[in-house]
Amino acid sequence: MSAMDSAPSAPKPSASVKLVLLGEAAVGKSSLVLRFVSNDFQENKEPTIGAAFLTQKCSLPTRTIKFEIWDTAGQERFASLAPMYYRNAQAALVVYDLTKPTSLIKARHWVSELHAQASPKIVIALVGNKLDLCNDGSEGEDAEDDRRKVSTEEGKKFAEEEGLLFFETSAKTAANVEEVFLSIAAKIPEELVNKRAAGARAGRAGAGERGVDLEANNENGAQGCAC
Amino acid sequence: MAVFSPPQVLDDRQQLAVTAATEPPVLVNEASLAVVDDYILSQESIEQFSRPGSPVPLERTATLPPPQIAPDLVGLSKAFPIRLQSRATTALSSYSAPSNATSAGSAPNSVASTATNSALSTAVSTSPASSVSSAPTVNTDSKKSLKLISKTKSRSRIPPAISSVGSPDIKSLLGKILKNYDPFGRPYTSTYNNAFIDADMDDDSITVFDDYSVDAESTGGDQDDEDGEMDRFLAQKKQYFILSFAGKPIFSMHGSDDLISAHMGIIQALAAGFEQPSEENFATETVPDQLRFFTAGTTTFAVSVEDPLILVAISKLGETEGQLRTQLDALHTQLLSALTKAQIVKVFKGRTNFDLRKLLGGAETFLRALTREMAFGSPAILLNAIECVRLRNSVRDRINLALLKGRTASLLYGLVVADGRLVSVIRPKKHSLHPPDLQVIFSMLFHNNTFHDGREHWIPICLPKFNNRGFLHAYIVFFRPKVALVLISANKDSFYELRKSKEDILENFEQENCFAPIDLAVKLVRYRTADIGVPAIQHFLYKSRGNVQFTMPNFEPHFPDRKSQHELMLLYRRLHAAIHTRHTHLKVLYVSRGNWVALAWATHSFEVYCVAGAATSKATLAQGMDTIIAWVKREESRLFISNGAVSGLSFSTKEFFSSLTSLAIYT
Repeated sequence: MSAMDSAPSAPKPSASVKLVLLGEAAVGKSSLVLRFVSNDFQENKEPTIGAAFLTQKCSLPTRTIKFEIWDTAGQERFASLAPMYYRNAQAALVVYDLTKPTSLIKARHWVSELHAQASPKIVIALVGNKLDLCNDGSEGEDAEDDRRKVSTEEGKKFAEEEGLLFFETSAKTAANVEEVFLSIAAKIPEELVNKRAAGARAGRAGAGERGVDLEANNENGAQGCAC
Repeated sequence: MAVFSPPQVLDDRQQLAVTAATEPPVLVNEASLAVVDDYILSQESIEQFSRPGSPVPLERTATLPPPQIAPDLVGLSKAFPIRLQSRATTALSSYSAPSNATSAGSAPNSVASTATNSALSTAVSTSPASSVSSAPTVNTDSKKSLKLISKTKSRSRIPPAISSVGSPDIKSLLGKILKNYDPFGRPYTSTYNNAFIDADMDDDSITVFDDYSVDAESTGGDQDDEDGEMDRFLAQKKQYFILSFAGKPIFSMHGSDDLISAHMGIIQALAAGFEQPSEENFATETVPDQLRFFTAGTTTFAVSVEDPLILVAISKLGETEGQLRTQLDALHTQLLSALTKAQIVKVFKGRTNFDLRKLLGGAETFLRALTREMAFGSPAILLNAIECVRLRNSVRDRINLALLKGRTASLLYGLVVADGRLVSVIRPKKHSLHPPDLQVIFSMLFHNNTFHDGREHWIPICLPKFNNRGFLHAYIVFFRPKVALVLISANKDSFYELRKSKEDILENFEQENCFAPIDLAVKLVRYRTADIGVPAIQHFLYKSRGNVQFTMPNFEPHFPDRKSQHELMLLYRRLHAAIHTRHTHLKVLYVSRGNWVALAWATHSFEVYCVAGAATSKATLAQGMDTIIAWVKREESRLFISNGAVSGLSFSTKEFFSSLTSLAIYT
């Protein structure tokens, strides 16, 4: 793996990057994280409640990124808590299910919500998961086993329009999973990393962070009233 | 203030009366009423209790048995007779003037329902208020029991009136009484007998079909290839439904949508038949009637209408309405913990046809886990109490201190829970914890795997008995395989703060050497009866009413597998039912059947249930119970948490409640 080949001797600048996973329920967000963090897979995982938090280091040639991952619940009832997780996030993984077209619609909603409300410099990756259920390559034999309902082109086109990274992954077979996180890590702007690193040293409750907090709170409050 | 506030589910008549008398009538709301009942108790009678200045009858006795519905009464076409029956009994039970039923008349009734295998030997009945004594045929065996009573007399300060009856007499007596007693003339051999003996937890086991199943099948629609599924569905010993008032299914323990929808429809129709079309149910004086309970053959149905929801518990295990109602309350609490009462009421407002399943969002897992646990037989829910890990005082103090030192400003409650048992709790000065709320948390933590992945979790959670309108936020992490730290805050942005707090707490644990005792407690599970000098006793439950906590020894070695544990729990349920039957003064109960003898005793401060092998003599059993009670008394500070760590923070309740989060709903 190319990212891990860099010499560990020189102290590389390291930074914390807050990453949030969003997407419809049961598209495989937790499984992606489990594959990335523990290189493991579980069938029939129980649904995430609220959100799970975990950290994972990711080593790039020029720097080390420490991901603080918010694996959120996809269920509708937690939707209004999402701003709490994506505010201040430098990266987002918007996940959909390649075998379920409605999940891409939900993904579009998340992308537009992120563009509207999250930090403007946020790096977003669009990820179509469950590639193992799609049988693209072997056209002859198992063509009827192909459960793909969302074409690669459709996802790609949407990602290009919105300026997102785009991957099709399988948490089950580990296809492309590492690549998603590495690409995100690589795309985090350098100045953001430096600033974040400085901020992290100065303490978590930096002034900048708090400023964003307030803004997000206001927006959140407005939503609360609407209901 | 005690660490646990007294239960809102009162299983004692007197407690209810006292509560009702000391609180303004408005506090006696529908929610608490629904669970208070042993069987039908109408709104009017409660209001009568709660009216200030009116005399509060401490005990009510009634001459009527629980309402029994003819076995074939299921199905829409037959709803009407049920309605009549229930209305009649409701009216009767609301008539609160104490009638003159003697304890002799009611006590044997409960005995009969418990000890059906005829091995019944002795029933000792003590009455706190009256001194009715009937049929004083004292044989030699029962003298031991008498001795027990007199020994404990000074402790409980209740002048016991003892009526003791030898076995041949009571059997013939019971037969006579019950023949006159049962309006349907059924023999007194309990209808639940089979359920008790054969009960097993095999979900696929198919048992004898009763009228209910035949009826239901004919309403079930197409049967072609679903016969097997339907059979399995109907053979379940236990079933829970949650449906909306419009009859939409929300949750069902067993069965697919196709199967359950017909049943939901029937239940909705039955329940709705009792409701008057009045909108302001609780405020106005004309209170609608409610369907509470009915039986069909050996199957009992408890219905709890928690506007806008209907909850139903169906049991073939011979549980009483009171027990089923406690379970329904737990189920309701679990549902509310995911959604809040306010949110449920809101989504149904104006659209009664709303499908709440859309909003459950993963909560089904918890509901399912809880229903499984309740069907198996949870001592915590049966006794409506919390179990704590037995720890030396010095150890618990160290853990408390570690929690206190690591707490942060926005921490409301902090809990350390090991394998379903409470290790330590930290709480603000003015707020206690409510056992049902804790049970919800414990069930979520330990009866399914959602939180067992070693990650840190941040979940919105409503603690309905604390406040059912808004969400708190819980930081949950399993820092040991079976040990969880739960930090609860009202501030949804306090994740990083609580995370830091966790690190400090765990560091304190390390420094104070707290891990070893916790690990040991998990490894040994509980204690053995041999350890406390009563090897003859195979198992027991002891509930301390004041602490709202209970303790019990390991199931092993006498009850090593799930099946025997389930059977033991069934026995406890029967003992509990007998001793909590309203309108009886039965407080000590000795039961002998097949493999076991059992002794149960309830006083104002505790309840004890002991089980021993069939060969055990009454003297040994009674002595064992005495030893247990003395031991618990000695160990009280280790077995129960009386105060917890008080954080000293005081939240202004008003300000605090207004800060609770409400989740916006997009539908």
